[in-house]
Amino acid sequence: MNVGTVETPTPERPANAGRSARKKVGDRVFQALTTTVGVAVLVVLTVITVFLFVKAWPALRSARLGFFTETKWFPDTDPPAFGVAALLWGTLLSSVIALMIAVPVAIGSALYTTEYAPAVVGRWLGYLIDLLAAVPSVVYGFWGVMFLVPRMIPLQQWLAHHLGFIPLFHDPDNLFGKSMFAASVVLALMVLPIVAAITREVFRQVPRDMREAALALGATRWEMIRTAVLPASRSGIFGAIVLGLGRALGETIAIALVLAATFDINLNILKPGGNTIAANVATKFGDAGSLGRSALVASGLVLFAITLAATLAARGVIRRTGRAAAGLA
Amino acid sequence: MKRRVPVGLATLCAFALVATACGSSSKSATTNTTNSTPAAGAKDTASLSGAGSTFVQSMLQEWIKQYGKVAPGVSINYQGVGSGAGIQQLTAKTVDIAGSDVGLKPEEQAATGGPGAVVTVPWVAGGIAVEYNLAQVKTLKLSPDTLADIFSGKIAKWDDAAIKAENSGVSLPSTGIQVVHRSDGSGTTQVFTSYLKAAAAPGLWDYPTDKDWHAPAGTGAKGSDGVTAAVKQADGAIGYAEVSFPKQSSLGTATIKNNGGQFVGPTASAVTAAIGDATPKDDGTLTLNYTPTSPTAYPISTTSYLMFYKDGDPTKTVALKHFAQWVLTDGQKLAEGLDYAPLPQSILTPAMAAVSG
Repeated sequence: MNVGTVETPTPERPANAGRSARKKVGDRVFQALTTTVGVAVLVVLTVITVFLFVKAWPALRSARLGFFTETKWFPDTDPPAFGVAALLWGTLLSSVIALMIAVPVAIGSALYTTEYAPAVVGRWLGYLIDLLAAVPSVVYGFWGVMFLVPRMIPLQQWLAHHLGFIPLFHDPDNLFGKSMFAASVVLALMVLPIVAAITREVFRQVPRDMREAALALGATRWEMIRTAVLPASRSGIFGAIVLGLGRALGETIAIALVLAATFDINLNILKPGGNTIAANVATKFGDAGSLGRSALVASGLVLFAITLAATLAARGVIRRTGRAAAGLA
Repeated sequence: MKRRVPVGLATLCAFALVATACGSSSKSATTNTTNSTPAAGAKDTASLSGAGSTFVQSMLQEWIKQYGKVAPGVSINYQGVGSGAGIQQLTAKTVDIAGSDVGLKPEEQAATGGPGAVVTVPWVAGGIAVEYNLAQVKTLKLSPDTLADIFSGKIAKWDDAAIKAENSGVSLPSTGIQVVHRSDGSGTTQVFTSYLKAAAAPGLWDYPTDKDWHAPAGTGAKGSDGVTAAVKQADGAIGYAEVSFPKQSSLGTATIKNNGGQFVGPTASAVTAAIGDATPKDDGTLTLNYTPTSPTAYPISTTSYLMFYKDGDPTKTVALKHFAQWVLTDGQKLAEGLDYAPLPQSILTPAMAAVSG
């Protein structure tokens, strides 16, 4: 943190005087420090991966490829039967539904604060959203579980009653409100502030010239947003969504509290059931035997891989849309 | 967890504890002082750490609190992380005490240094109550067969003929039955399903007896608190949890038909009677008898186990032995007040020998 103090020995000389002659000590020290820190990150990541592999090995060896196709999770029975198929499905499904709920709301609120709200209101709303984003997600989770989910039962029953013909909303009488849908809403609550805070920041970065140009051409405010703000912010919005996705994929305790933890793959999101990798680790770890623990670590490895894949994919998309946006501007 | 109490008060309570169950309510420390010797651990100084079963946690917190008055130099810290995690920490020697609802598996025993390296004794018993949410129904009697059919989903309505037959005179609603079970791995699930398998007619409960719930019926909830909250929430719901949970949520608990043909609720004496029929095994655990012969026994009863290294750090081991001896004598008197049950003398005597040896 106090790297800056190392770099201050030569205030009396003009900054560019010795630069071509030789590398200053401060430069060398600073370079060494940043290199060390950069390498340390890689080392930590490698150590984590190796650790996960070593700990997961007994389970992977026992289950073989079945680990990716089996839906049940009974690692400590004889013979053991366990796999991540249902968990993986639940993890992705809940995260995708959560983002489908959270992202439009987040973008809407960000647009309001940057484009529509009076300056004072916008500034204060901005502070508030930042504040919300800083609250640990488990707090939202508990609020969701204690307050929201019981009150969502009528909504879920209404959906099942009127839209039950769609397989998605088919529900045989869920009296507890513990469903994939409820869990996704809680997840949406958790990712909403961070997506809103980042998109707001992204919208604010759109050059003033572009907005003014659009308005000068006779665009209405909505047209200005559509033609200037949104295209220029596309990669930023996408980045925000990926961060939200990362948060949703790994969310644990609140989901463990909401979900009824069944191990099946279906689209009936109102039924009591479903499970995610992170929630399963939280619920099963305490009483797991040695193979059970190894199986949980193996599922963690899968989550690790998904997150990595999502991040890499996002990088790719951001780079491409970023270029496209640059070309547009 | 250690409570600092004035020396005079501590001695007073130490005397009182030996004589009577002074500590059964933590408030009364000023009851009768009778002539008695101080507890064996009074002069021990040790800081002990433990981890494991959540089943025993609230009992253990009370023991630790009361033992702090007997042996002020001993502090014990226990984390309820689950039996499996407790055993793992014991084999890794990061804790001195493990609390577990099950014995060590052969490979875990090997990891601790072979059979006998770890002392395992039962330290408290407890009943697993069948809790239900039916506003109009104050008493509910269930036989093991009916219970198995309810929890496997075969009986779907409360006014089913099988339930009616066991509850003559009770008007049962036509509400659907909502089964709630644990979503996390738990010794409670293992005991409950083991009971169903052992007590119900052959074929009625065909699922593995495991820490995880295998039957297709019902909704999962995390922890006994989660199960109880879910039962409380839905009319017509039924679940299972340690006795203290339905009590605190004022839910009804069913009386269960035992092998003597009597319907018995999970009272402390009924649980103690059931554990009296258990058979001690070589590794220190008990083979529970889920069809106890005593007509006063509550059949869905279980014990939890204390584990520690026989030859660990000498100072700690001595302090641990004294604590275990106290738990198996005076500590037992505190059980009923916290909705656990004391162990029967037939189990306590060999356990006492095991910790003292």
